[in-house]
Amino acid sequence: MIWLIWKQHRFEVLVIALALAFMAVYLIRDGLAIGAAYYQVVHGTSVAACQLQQNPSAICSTLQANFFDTYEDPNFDLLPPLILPVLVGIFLGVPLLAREMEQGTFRLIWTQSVTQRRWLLVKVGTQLVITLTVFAIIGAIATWYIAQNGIFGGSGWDNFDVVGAVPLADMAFGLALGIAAGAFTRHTVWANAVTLFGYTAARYVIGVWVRPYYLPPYSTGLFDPYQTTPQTLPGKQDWVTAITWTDHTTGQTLTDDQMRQACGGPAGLFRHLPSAPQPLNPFSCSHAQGWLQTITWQPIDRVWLFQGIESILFFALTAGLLWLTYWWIRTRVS
Amino acid sequence: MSIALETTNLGKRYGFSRRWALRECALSLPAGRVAALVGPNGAGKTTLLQLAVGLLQPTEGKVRVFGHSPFEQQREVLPRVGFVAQGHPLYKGFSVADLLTMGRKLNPNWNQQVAVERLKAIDIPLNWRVGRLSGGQQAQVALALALAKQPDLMLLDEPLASLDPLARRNLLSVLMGATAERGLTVLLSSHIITDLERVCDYLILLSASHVQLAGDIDGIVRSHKWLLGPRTDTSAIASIHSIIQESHTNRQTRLLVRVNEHLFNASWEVHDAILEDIVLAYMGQTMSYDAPVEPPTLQRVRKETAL
Repeated sequence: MIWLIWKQHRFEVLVIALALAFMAVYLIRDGLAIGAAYYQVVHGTSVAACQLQQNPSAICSTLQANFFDTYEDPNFDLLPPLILPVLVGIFLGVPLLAREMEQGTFRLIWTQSVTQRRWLLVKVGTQLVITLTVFAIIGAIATWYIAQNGIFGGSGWDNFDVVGAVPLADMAFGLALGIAAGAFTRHTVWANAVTLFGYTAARYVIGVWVRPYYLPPYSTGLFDPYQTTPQTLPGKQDWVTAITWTDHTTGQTLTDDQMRQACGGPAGLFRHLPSAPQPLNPFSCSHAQGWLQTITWQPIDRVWLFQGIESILFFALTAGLLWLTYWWIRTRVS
Repeated sequence: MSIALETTNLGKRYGFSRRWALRECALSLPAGRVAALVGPNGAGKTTLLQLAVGLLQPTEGKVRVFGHSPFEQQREVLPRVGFVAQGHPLYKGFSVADLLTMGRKLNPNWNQQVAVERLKAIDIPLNWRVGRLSGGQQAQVALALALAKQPDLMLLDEPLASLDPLARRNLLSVLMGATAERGLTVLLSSHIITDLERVCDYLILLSASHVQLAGDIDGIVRSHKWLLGPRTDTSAIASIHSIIQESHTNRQTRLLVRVNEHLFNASWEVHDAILEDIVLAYMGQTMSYDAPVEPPTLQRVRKETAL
């Protein structure tokens, strides 16, 4: 079986390996550069030291400004790993069944002496091992990359999708989605489209709509930021999941449009947390309208718990898709 | 004698339309036979073969291969069944040798020598890519793979379709050889009966999703007769024998009947029927359109006097 898998899928495996090598080279090269720049000692100090001491000196401002100019968004390098599950789904997952069905060769392979269950188990198992290994490597490099600078959120909420177990679960899910799409559509092109859109949609729905609610978020409760500062506010590393405004008299939640109409520009209302120092209190308009603010957030110490929940969720989806695929090829494909 | 393939009330429905592709199928194919599975397109031949190899799950009834359910007990059935699907699918990017390696790795009873000798006999180089071979050569490779598996039951779906007459003859004689040597049971589907008549000793006729006729070919041929006589009412004949087909001219009536009892009627001239006539008559019975049936080829059969 392993011989057959290698024979059939070596091209795809090579593509994945190339993608891995490419990303690794990029991440390591940029990571080294960022790390060097971050810790480079200039005139007796460095960006790292300035950040640590919160040193307001002129040399520090220049150093930091230079650093941010050069590495404006170091997270950009972490984007390719985010689309890797789709690539794996399309390159490895889809052909597993779609190609066999397009060419009719499933009738050849399922009538050798190997049962459909064993065939699927070995094929999917091998692909899972390969892809999870690949992504474990990528994940390790990404974690190292993120650690090269202390200011971009580290392995916290900002990089939730890139570090830990979540990317592994994403990878398994992308692969399973590709396999299932291939089985159900029976055509490579359709299966590719389903994988691309299905993966993106699932990722979006869960990442944006479901993730904030794995545990009840912390909340400030209703308060008027013009007058009061709540006792607990989200810290710098916490994940602010929502800032909502409520009309004091009607109890309705306000939409962006309503606020824009009533208060002209939304700048003061949306951009700043009440704790941020402001030359003028930006909340005079909301105060005059009788609006109250609520801030909800997830604290930094929940990152790994949430990682666990989300990976279990995606691994469960993976298992569900694979079971469905098995049932489908067993009873509906002939 | 053991039974290679047995079905009881076997039925299969497909898809959203829930159309029956096969229904009330009751068969019992003894081991060691070479059986022809004939019928018009869409009669359910492929469905029956796929049920027998376990690619399909029966909607109702049972199918047993050497006593096992092909769908539920793949582990028991698959090593004993050779299957060549319609269009003989193969991995086109593989070389012929790769396919043999695949067969060796996936089948416990694999006999490399059988495959190699077979391919050598028909001049197919092992290092060629399958995609380079002609359709007929690919069919031969598919058959070689199935034979090297050393099965006890061979299921072939339209194996002759892409072969030239010489290759057909060659393929059939190889099958005959395997039956004689190893007691292989063969079930092969086709809609051309003439090729099969020489090698097959058993016939299963499917039409309109039902088994119309199944049994020993000699027995079938012996029990069907053409009756020629003056134009008369046929109800007397129909009360004893089964009329498969009747046609009338102004003065004459011609009947193809299955003889249920001793045929004794002085007013009818009795002729032997040939297999092709019988098969076509059964198909014509159930086809939605009126297939023109060729007149019986009387010159080819011995004329008999009424018994």
